[in-house]
Amino acid sequence: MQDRPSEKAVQPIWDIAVRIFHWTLVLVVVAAFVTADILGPTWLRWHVAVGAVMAALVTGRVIWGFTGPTYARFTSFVQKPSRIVAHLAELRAARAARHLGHNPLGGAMVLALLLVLSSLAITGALQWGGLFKAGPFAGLSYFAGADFAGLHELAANLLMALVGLHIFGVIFESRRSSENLARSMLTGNKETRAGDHTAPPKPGRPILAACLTIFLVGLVGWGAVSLTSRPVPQAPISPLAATYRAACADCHAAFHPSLMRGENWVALMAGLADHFGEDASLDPQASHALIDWLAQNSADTVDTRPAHLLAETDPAAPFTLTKTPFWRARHRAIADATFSRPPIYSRANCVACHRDADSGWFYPPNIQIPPEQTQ
Amino acid sequence: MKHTLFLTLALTTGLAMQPVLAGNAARQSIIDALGAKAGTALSAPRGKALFLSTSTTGKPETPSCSTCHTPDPTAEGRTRVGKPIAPMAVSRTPDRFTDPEKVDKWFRRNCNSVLGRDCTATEQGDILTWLSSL
Repeated sequence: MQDRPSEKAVQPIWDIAVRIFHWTLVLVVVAAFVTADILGPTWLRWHVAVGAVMAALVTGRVIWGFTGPTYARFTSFVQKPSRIVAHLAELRAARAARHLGHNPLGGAMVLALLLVLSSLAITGALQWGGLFKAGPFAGLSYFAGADFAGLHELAANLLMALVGLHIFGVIFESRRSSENLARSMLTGNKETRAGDHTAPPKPGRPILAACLTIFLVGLVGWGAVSLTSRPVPQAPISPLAATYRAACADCHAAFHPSLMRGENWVALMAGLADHFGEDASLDPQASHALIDWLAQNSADTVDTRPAHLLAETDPAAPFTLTKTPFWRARHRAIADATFSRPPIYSRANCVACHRDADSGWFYPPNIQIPPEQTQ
Repeated sequence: MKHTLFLTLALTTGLAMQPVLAGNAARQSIIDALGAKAGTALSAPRGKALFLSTSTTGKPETPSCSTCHTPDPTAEGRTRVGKPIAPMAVSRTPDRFTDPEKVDKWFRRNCNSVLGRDCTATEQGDILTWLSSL
């Protein structure tokens, strides 16, 4: 070690668990933002995994807030609102003393961040369940999922605002107290100064904390896995009837019956003699049996995301999926040339990019636009 | 030992060939029936000409058989939405034209799409004769 006589006396404030939690959480929040807002829906699985890691981290931090050493504990930094107001008044009067741990505002920020992060994990899992029928809450309805999606987005925006405020607070307090607080969160040390607010020393209980965290995360994980393995209610039919494949899938992909309302299937089947520019007529008996099967498994009978999103059709083309408002909006960014090139060939060739199209699910992570073929 | 091996080989080859032979018989009977209905000798060149011709009387999306099947029946075709169609030539797709219902269904649909009318027995027989000869 270099001898630095001018170095001020420091003392450990942030224990190693707090520091690892803080910086891992930074990475997790960045990863959650990137997977959701930049990489997009095909990265949904990663976004969910990142969210699960976040939930485990927050669980661990909350437990550490009761079992950790002095400045890790909630009791050292969660203050009554009156104390926060008093601290603000002291700040305005420029006579606020320094806190060795979090000051009352910083403590409120920690609490707010933990609350918003928890609500993100919970609304995320609920949204994932309702919209995609995936995970522990796959039993939720599509509309409940859509509501939780709204709350999830709200919480995400709130988190962004809090992160901004947090960074502002760190810069503000660093300048005010002439000490780099971000660096302290890396080294764990803060300068020892006279007149600081301190907290009564408390011992850390890492073994208890680890046991509690492992138990709680394990319990929630086990619960989630066992809930996940329950059958999904109102799932789209699988496999498709052999008669349907035989009658319809010679020329095009076997469009899942749950992608269209029953009434539109009936209209489509009535016009097979001029079916998208070709005669695709069937003998009447086969046709009647198929109409029944299509109606029994149509969008009216399931609760999937595609069934809801494609339900609104273009009145001029009531059974053209690629002309529905949702379809057009969602595929707007894809060039015409992409649709016509091999091995895609056509907008109607859903399965070329949606690898699970035949199942009716169209789960975003299963999207893969095939690369251009060079010969 | 050698005899057993030979016998096994002959038997398995025979069994493997059976569907093809049965298919040939089924196809021939379809073509024969069309020939009888046509009342004239069927002609592979006439079938080829019809298959490659362009029509304006059918649906505008499908002016010719070759729109989807390509002009080369030994090549794989492609439907208008990109689904592959096995080659029409019997030499490439041995079970072609062995199921009378399937033959009826697709002539009914595709003649209407391309020509805007049903194909005559002569036209159907000509095309099958050509595609079987390739």
